[in-house]
Amino acid sequence: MRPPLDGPFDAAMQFFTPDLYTRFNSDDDDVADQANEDSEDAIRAYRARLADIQVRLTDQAMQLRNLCLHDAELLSAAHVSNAWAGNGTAGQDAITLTLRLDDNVYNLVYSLSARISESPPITGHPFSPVCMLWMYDEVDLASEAGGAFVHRILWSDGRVVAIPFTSVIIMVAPLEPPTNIAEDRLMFAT
Amino acid sequence: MTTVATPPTIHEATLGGNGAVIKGAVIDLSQAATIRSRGGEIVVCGPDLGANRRLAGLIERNANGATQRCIPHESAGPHALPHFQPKLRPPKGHTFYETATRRAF
Repeated sequence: MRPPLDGPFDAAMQFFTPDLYTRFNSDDDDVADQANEDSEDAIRAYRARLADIQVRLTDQAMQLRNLCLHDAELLSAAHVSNAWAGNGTAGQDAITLTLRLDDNVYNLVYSLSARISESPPITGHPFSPVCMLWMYDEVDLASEAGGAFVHRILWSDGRVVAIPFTSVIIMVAPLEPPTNIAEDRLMFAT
Repeated sequence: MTTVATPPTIHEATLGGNGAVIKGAVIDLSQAATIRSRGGEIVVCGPDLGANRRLAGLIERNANGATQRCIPHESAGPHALPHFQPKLRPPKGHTFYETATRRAF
């Protein structure tokens, strides 16, 4: 029997917090100036954290850390229980995020190490409930014991989603429609 | 003795590696709004953070209405600049601005 996932995981940005982003967007010059300094501190602190844990990040986690998906629109989030099970073995839960950024579609497929958690949306400027755009993200160890990671994402509606994972696959496909493919060769053509 | 503040300048811009913003020709407010409404990149340069930020925000609002101001994206690279952009896309692009420690090339 598949063991239940631990969690929920703490859904709080550690560096690029909703509060920092709100102050950064302030119309008050003094508040915005202070937030500018605080944002530099946050960037330095995040880089220092990444430097500390770099040797413990897998290649996949490093790829995720280097991915810049700011402004990407969330098209879907599909959770699959007991994914990749076979031969009588239990499978890990997985979630696939599908995002659109410029002329590409990104699929991020995470094997979950614990339950996903999320904070509630935030009402008011600079956040907006109109659509879900990727704002800022942080990759970290899920625990100091290592072996699992957490990807925290701040969305444009102020929600923070924490995805604890052991592995992640990143797929990118261009949005341009295929050319020179005969219609009868399209498997799903109607 | 009074100090004369250096006003910010507006430039066409392109994106380089590691988040770098490369400034091009100087443009005026009207040209900047046109470039931004078409999804291009511009950058506001100068020594005064507040003046740069206010001008960048004015351009983006003139061009695209409701805006948001974004912290430099760490994952874009060490040279990334803060910027304004439309609250809802499209258009693409950004109105970048310089700070005391982050400069266009």
